[in-house]
Amino acid sequence: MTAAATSPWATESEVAEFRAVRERVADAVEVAVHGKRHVVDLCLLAVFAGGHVLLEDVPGTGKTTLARAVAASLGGTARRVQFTPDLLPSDVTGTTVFHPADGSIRFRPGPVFANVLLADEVNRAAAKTQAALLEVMEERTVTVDGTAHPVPRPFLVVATQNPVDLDGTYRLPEAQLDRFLVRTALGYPDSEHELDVLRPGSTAGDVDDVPTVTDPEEVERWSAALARLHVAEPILRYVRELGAATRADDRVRLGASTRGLRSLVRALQVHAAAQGRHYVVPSDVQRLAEPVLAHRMMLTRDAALAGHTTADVLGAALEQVPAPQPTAG
Amino acid sequence: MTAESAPTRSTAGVPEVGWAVLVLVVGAVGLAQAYRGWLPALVLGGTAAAGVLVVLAGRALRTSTLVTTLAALALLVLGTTLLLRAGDTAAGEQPWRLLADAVPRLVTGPRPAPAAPDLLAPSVLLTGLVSVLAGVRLGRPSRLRASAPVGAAVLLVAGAALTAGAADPYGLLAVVLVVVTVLGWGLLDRPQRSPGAVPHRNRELVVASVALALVAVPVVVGGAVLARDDAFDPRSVVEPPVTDVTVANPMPMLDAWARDPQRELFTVEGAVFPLHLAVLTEYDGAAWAAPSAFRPLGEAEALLPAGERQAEVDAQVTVVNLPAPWLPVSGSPETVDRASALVDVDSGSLIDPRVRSGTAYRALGLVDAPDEAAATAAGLPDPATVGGLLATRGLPDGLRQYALSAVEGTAAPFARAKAVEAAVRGNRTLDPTAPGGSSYRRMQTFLLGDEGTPGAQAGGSEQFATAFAVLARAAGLPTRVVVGFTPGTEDTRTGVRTVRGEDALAWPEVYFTGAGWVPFSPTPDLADLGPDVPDDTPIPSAAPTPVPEPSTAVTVDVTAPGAAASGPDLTPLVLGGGAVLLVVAAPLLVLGALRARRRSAHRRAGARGSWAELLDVADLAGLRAHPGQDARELATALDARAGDGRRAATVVAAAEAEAWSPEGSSPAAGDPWQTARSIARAVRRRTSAGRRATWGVHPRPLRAGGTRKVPLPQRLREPAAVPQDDHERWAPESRADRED
Repeated sequence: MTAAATSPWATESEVAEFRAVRERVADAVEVAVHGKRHVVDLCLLAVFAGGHVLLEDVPGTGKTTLARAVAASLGGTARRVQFTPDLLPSDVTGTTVFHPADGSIRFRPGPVFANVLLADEVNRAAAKTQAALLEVMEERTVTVDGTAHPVPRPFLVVATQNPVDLDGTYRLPEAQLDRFLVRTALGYPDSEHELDVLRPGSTAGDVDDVPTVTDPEEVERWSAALARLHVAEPILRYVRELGAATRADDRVRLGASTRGLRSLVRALQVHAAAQGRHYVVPSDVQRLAEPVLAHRMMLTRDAALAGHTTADVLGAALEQVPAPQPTAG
Repeated sequence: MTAESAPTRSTAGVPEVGWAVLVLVVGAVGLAQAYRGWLPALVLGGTAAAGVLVVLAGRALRTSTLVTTLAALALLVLGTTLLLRAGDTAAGEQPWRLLADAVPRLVTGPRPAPAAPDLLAPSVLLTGLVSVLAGVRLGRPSRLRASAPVGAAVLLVAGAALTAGAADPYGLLAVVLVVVTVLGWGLLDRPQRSPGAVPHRNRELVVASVALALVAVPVVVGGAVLARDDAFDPRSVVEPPVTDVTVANPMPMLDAWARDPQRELFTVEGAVFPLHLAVLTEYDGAAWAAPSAFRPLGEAEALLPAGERQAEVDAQVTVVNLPAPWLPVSGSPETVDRASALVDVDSGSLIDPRVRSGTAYRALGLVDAPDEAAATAAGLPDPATVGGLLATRGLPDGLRQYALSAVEGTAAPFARAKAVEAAVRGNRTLDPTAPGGSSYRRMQTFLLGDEGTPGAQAGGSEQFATAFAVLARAAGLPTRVVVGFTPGTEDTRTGVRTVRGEDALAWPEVYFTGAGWVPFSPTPDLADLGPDVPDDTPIPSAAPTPVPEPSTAVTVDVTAPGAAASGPDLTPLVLGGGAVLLVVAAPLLVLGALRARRRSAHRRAGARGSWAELLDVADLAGLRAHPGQDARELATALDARAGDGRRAATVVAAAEAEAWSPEGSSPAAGDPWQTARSIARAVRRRTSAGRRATWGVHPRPLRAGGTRKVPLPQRLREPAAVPQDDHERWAPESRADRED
């Protein structure tokens, strides 16, 4: 970043500078993750917006690689926790340990103390373990024996869920789903990229080759700077009407929350800057509505049985709520 | 319930209801032209509005459509029944029977029909049915509202059928209906699609075409077929019912009125023309017989066609002291505002069994008014077609010889008639005290009797007229006798003429082909009733010769459909065409001006105005798929239609920067307005010919202007309150499972 901003809003030059940084990070991640630029973009969106990512996909699609590559490119630490039913909260957050050598009791940080935490198959852990993660995701602190221990910044949780093998899993509660800024799926690469991955000597999946192109402090600065990116009043009204429409749909039991809409606005700021704009446009809203809002909504039992999805509901709302036009008056 | 199975209850907005009511009222006004006066227009217009409003009121009260429709129909039946019961013919009849009678009475009755309740009932029923059905259809989700225009077209065509096109002679109402319909479709049609529905553009085009055809075809075909001179008239296929009425011959009353010359008989307002009381065609050698075959006024053809040049005489008559049931009228009655009036079509005699002292009525009569040229040149009809107008059964030889000697040396029919007139008038004197009667014996005395014989060479107008008729028939001239009145004495202050006993007289009329019935004045000392032919005008003996123009001006509106001398009268066409142009052009001019003003405002509004202009283009080209379509998506559609690069995207980018960046504006590459206009031209070139033709005046951009907001469908509206805490509702199943 060149200079402290004097304008109340993020300027065009700031945005241009951020865009260059973000492009560098994205290119670095792509060294290990091939053909998934849009997922990489969403992960970086979460990084710079201070949110977390929920990846829903089958094993072997590169979820872990993605998380590690992001961490490597940011120059931060990355930890991985395989969530199991017998995993305890302290296995995630850490615990206090007695040191016989000096007779002291010290806090031993868990894997959550990293810039990027890969919570693999997060829905296999019991509720209280999930709840422990919940606190860290929202508060960015771990409280053990009454002492709050802040996690490093930036702090990104990349949680994965396997949608196929659901035996013995605990569905994530809505409150916890609401903590994830975006939900997306990696999916299998297209044929060209899959061949590229299969080819001997390919760097795909080789996280060690991912260059570090920035540092956590710079990410934190940009995260704070992009919070000042301008969002015009008609866009805010559009977001609000979109949320209201999801709440009023007959198929929906739980619509988009105010926190969800707030997260959407935050994501819009980062996305607009990533596109090189210092303002948000309605197409940004339409682009991000599903990854940011769909997982925060719940359908009624009838609608779910009829095969509807929250994406359908959002699609209908996007068609029906008039998009603001950049016209005069 | 899933979203797909959720019922969508669509409601019509106030503008749409107002438009539908306006369209129906236009149709109802067209139908009301079949009646006399303004009251039917009020009643039918009110019915047209009420049907729609009752149905919509029921819907607003959340009543089912079936119940609402049945209630509206019940109200309609009740109103129609009350109207039928209020009519003159209601006594002891069932309503359905009265209704069944009212329709043929309306079809065969006077035109325009009197505003009698029972005659109004069929039209009220039709208007109500159309209105209720339009109301039922109004709330249905549909892109085009065709029911109200189709219903209005039905009413308009019904009015044209009842009047043989006279209800809307220049097609103004039809044009108004089409203009209001098209404006309504342009301004009020709004997409109402369920979420995710794909627009069926082809289907909408088909629906629009069918709906427009449903309105335009009946209107245009109706206008073309019904408004012609030889228009189809349903009355031509209906034989009006004939009623045998025995009425007294008013001829003997002439003596009584002559003896009481100051007796006030009736008053009249209107053009100064003689009035017929009774027209007598049947003569048996002893007396004239009054006609007895009467029927309602209508389109029944008379035995002999009317003359080619006729005068329309509109008169308001108030009866004071006249022998019932005769009604004075000038010429052949065309319309009378009394539903109970009856006419003898052949003679034109008018009666009303309900006439009383004080009865007032308005009658329009057609009087044959040939100019002298036509009269003097006119021929005679085929004797086989004139019925009893030449009957001279039992005519004494003396009278026959007298007739032949009177017309000796004349060949032209008119000259023969004038010769008979001169012969009858002779040196005879008008003597109201002379013996009355119309028999051959009385005629022999009157014409051939010696001086000193009572009744010889003297008589009243009855004798002069009868003598003329007897001699003219003997000379081969179809003749009838009219008992009637001279125009009376006018009160210069009020303009009302009072007709007294002294104004009563009888006169003969001779029928000439093309000229119609021409009156003659054999009675001395009375005004000449016939065509004013100067004494020095040579009367042709065989072939017609030119004659001077009449010395007296015709003081009333004269219709001359066959007048060859003056040529066709183009005034109605010019006026009608001008009015049609005005009605069509005025809205187009207004729309064009509004669009130009809007474009000018866009030009001044920078990049955002340029995008607003492109939005109008998208509306006109039908590129707006749904309300949620954002600017970039639309720009892509516009560029695809224009087919010359991603130029609309640059306009959008400039407009978005201007609208939503914190600085408020951003220098745009190039001139967004010029780019927008260039795209508009390219898109216009690639639209259909019909849309190109209306591009500059189409009202859709005006309707889409302003907020451009589309209301959310019912199921996407905000709930009244946040759902209350409900464990069953809010607790996820998995959590409950865990607790187990």
